[in-house]
Amino acid sequence: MELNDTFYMKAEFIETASGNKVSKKSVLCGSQNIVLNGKSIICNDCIVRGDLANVRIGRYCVIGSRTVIRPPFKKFSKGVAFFPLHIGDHVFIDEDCIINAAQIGSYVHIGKNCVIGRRCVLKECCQIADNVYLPPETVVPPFTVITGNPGKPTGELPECTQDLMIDATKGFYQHFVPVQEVK
Amino acid sequence: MASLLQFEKVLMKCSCDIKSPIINLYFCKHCLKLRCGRCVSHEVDSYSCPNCLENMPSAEAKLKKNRCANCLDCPSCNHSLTTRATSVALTDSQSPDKKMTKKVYYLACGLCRWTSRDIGLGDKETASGGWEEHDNPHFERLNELLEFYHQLAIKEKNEREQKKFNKRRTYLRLQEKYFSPGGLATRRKASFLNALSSMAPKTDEPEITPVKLIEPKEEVDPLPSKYYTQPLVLEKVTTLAQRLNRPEFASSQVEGLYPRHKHLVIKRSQRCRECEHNLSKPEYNPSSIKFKIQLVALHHIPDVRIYLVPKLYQAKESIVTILLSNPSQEKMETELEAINEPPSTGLLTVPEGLLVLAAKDITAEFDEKTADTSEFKDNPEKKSSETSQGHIQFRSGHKLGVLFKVTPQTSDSDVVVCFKLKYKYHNTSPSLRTPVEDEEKPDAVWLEHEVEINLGATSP
Amino acid sequence: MTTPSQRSRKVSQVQRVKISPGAVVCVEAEIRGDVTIGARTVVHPRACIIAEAGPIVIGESNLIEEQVLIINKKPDDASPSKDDKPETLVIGSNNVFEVGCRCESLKIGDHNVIEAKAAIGRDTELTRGNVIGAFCEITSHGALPENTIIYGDKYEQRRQYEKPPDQTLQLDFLMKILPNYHRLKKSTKTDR
Repeated sequence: MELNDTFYMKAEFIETASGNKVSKKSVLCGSQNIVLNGKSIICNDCIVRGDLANVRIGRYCVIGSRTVIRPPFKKFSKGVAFFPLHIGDHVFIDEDCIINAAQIGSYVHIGKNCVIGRRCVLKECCQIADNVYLPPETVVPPFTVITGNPGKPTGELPECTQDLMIDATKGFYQHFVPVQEVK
Repeated sequence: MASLLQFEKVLMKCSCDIKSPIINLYFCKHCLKLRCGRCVSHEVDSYSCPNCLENMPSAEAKLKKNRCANCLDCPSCNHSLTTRATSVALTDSQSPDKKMTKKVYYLACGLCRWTSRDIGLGDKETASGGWEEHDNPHFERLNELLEFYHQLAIKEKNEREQKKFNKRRTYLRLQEKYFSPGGLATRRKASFLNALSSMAPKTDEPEITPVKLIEPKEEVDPLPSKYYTQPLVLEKVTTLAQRLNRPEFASSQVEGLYPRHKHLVIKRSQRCRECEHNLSKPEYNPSSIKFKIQLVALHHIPDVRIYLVPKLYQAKESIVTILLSNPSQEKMETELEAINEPPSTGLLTVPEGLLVLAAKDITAEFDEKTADTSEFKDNPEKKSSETSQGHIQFRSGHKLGVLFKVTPQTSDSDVVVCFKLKYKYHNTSPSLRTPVEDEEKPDAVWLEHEVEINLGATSP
Repeated sequence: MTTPSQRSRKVSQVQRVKISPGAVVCVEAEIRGDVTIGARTVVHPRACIIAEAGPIVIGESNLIEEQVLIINKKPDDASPSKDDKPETLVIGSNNVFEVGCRCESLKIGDHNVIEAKAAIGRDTELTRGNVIGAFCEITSHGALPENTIIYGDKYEQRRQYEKPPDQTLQLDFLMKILPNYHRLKKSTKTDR
């Protein structure tokens, strides 16, 4: 099934030169540390904590509403710091998620209402279903489908997942259409 | 991705007559047939640990019983254990005034907060490894039994071979008696062979070490009195799941729960059962998502997707827009033919005639100008005149939107329509068998697949 | 246009928030009602502390992350005639409230951890060293025994031997860097 158009109020979103669409209602703390590589969409009421550490988000990513993106905390031998958070390209994060991961690979689909624990590593082409809690420091191998609380691998993704995610995220970006407010 | 793009609504029939969404299908270029997960043979390609993503050669995996050497699972919740460091202050034995801090490591679970200190395992000084293995208490008895059965098996095998040898021996004797061509040399060889075979049964009777048999007894030990006198502390009792994780210990107390090594995961490669060619072969590296061979249906077959479905009413004709997309880099001609028999629950009219799909242009996303569609002559005037037949709705790049006319014939179940998708497949890779000078153009073959589309329920 | 009485009420509400010196409370955090925040406590932006049916007292060295809702709510079944004095929601020290959790409990001790998207009802009481796992909703009456951990969707329980480790290092780090990026609510001079 082809995606339908998702409409948004033109006044509510800021579009940058590289094609990123960021909602004005979302909170981007420390925006100088947040890097969006292009054509990414951040929906309303998101919280991205760039003040804690660097956050880098790849191309054609979609961050759903009310999601919190927060770099994880790490105790090093020489002290403490917040670990930078890298999110790859073509990542689709659904609504109401809490992302505390250390790294999210490309072509990942994270479902609604998920909690990704501290310092988790999600490799490329994996899928996290809805309502999953990934305990801290979990590593999710490629092509795995994780369900349940606590998240356990329950299935496998087909080999063409990379093409499907590219198609889905590009399609979502193309169908994310602004609508002028009727005054 | 079925959740976002809903691929399960469009099903294709593969060569074993089972319908599955196109994302789960492979396309064998040599047999020119669709294969699903059930008509391919799966083979293990490589083993790796899901936690450290370290590859393990298959011999080592077999030795370690498919467990990772470094990673451990929490015994209470089966999540992965992580190594945490703390610093411990020690006083040097020689100079009691000097205080040193040493780093010690312990295992901890992120989910249930179990630590290795809960079972009394002391903190270790090395970051990885060094965790003692808890041996199976029945190890020796099991080994003894295995040895015994192993020896029995060898003995039986030898008896079987001896029978074969006996038969062969008589044949040889006859042969050397009447048919020996070489004369003395062959007779000597034959007699030598006979001597060998006669020796064989004698040496192959090793001493089978007898195994201690367990005597059955009727008396059972009485239940210890502590079950009657001591109060039950539920927090110290293990759950069944925790107990059965390690069946050799089956510890009833929480203090006896030892961590287990993490089980390995595999990468599979798929092979067509008819022509024995590989359809999918992943790369060796566990973290890599690339494939050495990737013959998935999505790359070879036109993709059928539902674009627009209006509200469907019982026995009322509606127009559904279907999107066909061409995955190849050459023009593709397609033809559709409706199948109006069960399991189809709606009357379908498809556009007739040849539908041509443009080639997929991978540079199109970077190029600003729109694709040139004039060569396809989709005459807009035709739209108004040919209202009785389905026609082309729009064309965009390598995609083509067509209109289907659907008349639902059921009101309880989902409306399902079936049709045959015929297309001209260009075999892009050259065949090694045909001589190069004869054929310049790759041969194109008309292929046909059955497609089933689920359009959802009818509105009341 | 706000009338003078409305304006004074607003001002008096704001003045009822007492922030001890040493606490780091971001301006984007929503704090309403009679709330007292102890020293060395960090409140991240977008946290909500709402004292609706009574005051809230938060102890020292607590970590309250974003989208957390700590609310002293009037119970739904309270009859208006039985209007006894408002109960105070007391939170001890060294507690961690992770992102998105919801706390209505009236009494929380020390060294507890409430993980992401967890919820605690009004009648539950957390004592010391308790860990409520992610997505767990605890609405039972009575106090949880010390050092209890509740985790998983089947609400499995186990007892720890020691309390969860303190987050003092994280608190120190946050107290250093949060002022660089956020405006903080001014601390009121109280002799608490």
